[in-house]
Amino acid sequence: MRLDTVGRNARAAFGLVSLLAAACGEGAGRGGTIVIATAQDPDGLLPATYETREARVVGELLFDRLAERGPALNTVGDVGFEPRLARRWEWSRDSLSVRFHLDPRARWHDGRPVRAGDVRFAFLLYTDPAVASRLGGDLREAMDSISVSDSLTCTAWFRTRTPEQFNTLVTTLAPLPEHLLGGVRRDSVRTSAFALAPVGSGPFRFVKWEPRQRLEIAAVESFYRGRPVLDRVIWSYAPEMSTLVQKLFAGEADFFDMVPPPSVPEAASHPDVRLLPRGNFDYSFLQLNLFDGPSERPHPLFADRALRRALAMGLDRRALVRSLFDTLGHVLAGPFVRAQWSADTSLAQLPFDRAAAARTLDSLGWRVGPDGVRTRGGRPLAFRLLYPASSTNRKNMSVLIQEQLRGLGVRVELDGADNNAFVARGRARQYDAYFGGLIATPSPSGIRQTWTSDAAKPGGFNTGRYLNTAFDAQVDSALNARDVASAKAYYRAAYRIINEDAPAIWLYEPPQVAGAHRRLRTGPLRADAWWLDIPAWSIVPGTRLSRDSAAAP
Amino acid sequence: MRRLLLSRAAQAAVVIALVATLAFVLIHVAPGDPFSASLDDPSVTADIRATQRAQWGYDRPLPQQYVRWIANLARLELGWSHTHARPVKEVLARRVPNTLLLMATALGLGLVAGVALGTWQAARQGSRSERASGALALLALSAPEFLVALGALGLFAVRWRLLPVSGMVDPVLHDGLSLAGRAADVLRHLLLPAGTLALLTTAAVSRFHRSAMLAVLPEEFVRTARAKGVTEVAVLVRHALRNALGPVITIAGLMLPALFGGAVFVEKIFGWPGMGLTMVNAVGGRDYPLVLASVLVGSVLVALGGAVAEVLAAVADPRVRGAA
Repeated sequence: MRLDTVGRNARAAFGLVSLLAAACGEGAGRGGTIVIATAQDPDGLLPATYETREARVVGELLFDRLAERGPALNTVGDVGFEPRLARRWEWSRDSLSVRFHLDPRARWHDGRPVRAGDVRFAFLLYTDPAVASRLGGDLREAMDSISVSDSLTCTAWFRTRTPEQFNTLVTTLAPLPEHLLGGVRRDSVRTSAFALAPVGSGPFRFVKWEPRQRLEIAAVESFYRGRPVLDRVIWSYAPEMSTLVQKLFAGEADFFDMVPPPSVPEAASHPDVRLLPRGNFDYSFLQLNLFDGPSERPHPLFADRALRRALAMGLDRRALVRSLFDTLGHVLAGPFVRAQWSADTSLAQLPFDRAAAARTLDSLGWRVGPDGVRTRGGRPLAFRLLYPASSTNRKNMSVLIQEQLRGLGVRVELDGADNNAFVARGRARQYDAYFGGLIATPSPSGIRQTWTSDAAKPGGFNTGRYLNTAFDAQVDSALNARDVASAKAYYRAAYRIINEDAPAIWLYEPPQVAGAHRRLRTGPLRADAWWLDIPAWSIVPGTRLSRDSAAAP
Repeated sequence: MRRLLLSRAAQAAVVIALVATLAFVLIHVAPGDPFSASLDDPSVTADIRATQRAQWGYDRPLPQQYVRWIANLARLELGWSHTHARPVKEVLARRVPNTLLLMATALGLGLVAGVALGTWQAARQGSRSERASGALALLALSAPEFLVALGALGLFAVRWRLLPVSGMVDPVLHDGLSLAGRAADVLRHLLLPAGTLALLTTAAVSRFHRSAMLAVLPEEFVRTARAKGVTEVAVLVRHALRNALGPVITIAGLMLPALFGGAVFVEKIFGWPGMGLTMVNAVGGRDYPLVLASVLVGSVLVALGGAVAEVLAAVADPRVRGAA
């Protein structure tokens, strides 16, 4: 089957975006410097090797990709994808290859043109095992090779046809300058000078990076898609969340993407600050180990589906989320977030019904003892809950869960661990219940790596070892569906099965609220990558500060 | 004096070797490694982690890693900091001066002010002003460091906007300033963190020094000086103060490692890029090379601080010199 062709639509979208950016620039006045408050530093600036979100934020402004997902965040086919380095592309009849035509105006920040050879070079670098790129695995699995026809044309060859093959390619691979990186040893590319001071192809160029202090990028004057409105973007680092909020309040920072929930009321009433709720891809859940630790023996409690369901029904998740986040958080409806296209928040879920939960536990033989804890055959209904002590949200919710389950006659022993120990014990399956948190992507296909039987193998991410072939089959069908509607139906069926089985108790999507100074004009923030629209951000006329006129080096 | 120095140097070498070895073993036996964070990321496969560990030699037996570390150390190669994405040498070269600036300013101010306050309190023992200043010092000493820091931040940076909230320089304007302008910029950013630490140091030192002065003032040589008609200020400064400096010098010596170690809470709240927070983050991120290099430099300074304190005490007090 042939996938969609972008052709005319893409060009139209490209033109529209350019026009909008230009119009915005003229209307709001070009120039200005904004300061973004941040608590984390990038772990490098080479797209093939960086792993943190902070690195992505900067890296995706320095490096353009072949195409970018559109605001609808579709990941199937190429519908909605907007041209970047590739100004157009066309599919082969069998959909096993796609030919990209690069924009001849695109330049590296050192002035050299972006060539098709750079695309092939990047592919080889990403997929070289010596580079140990976390993105390389996905590319290797999806792609066979990239061939070059001429300096502006290359063809990506896929191993098999999959609905998300285009998404995998263009959102993973950032073309890299062969003339600068070709001579660098692959096993040391991560620590190369280029990774610390890269030469990119995006709307901003790298200026300066003083780790844990500041990082600066500046607009590329002759950028092929149109110059960004702002002159400079500077990330100013502070390790303490309350300090970051204060920087925003004091006007030292123009933007902070993660205003913590306790500071939201103060920020909302601050005259210089406006709050910008944004989409979210994080979710947290209580994973139940269906086996006894790392052994092959069934877990004495959680191997029992009825007991798991009773525990899920015994928790008032709405009250938990409200206690922690007021009205800002959302109860998780399954192993997906609302911003994913596969999300279905109307899906039936196990209701909060403490009486029904108690009846189920009674029927299973768990009787309330004199100390209020249920027992069966002399064994108390008790388990340990492993959580990361460094996470305030998870720590607080663990306490609330402990308290709610106490009312049901279940004793929960809290087991806080430092983050390294927490993660290591989780991956080694050394837990009863694990307070997990995941960062999803717009593609719902990540469920394969987290909840299917395949992921329950040693080293896999399904450490609670939830095994259900019916669920696996629905996920498999969803991953191979040829259109969004079919895929949605399969995902929905898979979500329904896993929700009924309750291998985990779905807890919350944490609130994501950004704060911006009123002098900054941003527009709505993208759920998947708010930073991608920074080139169109501007300073409101009449609100310029001394820092706006400081010249970029 | 030479024997004293040689003996202390030999002791220090043994202590440093032991501390470094212990740190090496402890950080490696702690759960996790520099790539533990990626364990939380489903896209980082076991193969990728294995390659990363192999590239840095973390897959080798511990004794082999230790020998390699020692060999690198002998060549002054401190390795790569995983948390800073930089060579460790570069991290230390950037962070240590920042810490020295903060801590030297804070401790210097604190020591001078503490000695002055302690002397003044001793001279006015029993007066209302002495009791009031003593109570204030005790209050400052009892207040948690982070509370004082947050209070100062709230008042001076947020409410009155007199000083910057955090950082060491203005992230936008600093590079474009003249040399004097840059110095002034650093000074503006230094005032709150250094002031907070200096306040706490002043309170601590004044308590010790007041007691030492009160012990010295009834001594015969002080009475003799007064009997000879020496002014009260000269009695306090020339005669009593010098003899009461012993405890303060010991405290100052013990504070020397803090010049390098920094102050975690204050650095965190004011975003001061110093060694305290760097080390805490390095331990949390299992950044083996940075942790070990920091411990090494820190233990050298501890040893050095102890030795310097002993020598200074000997210089200040002939009785100590005689005992040594």
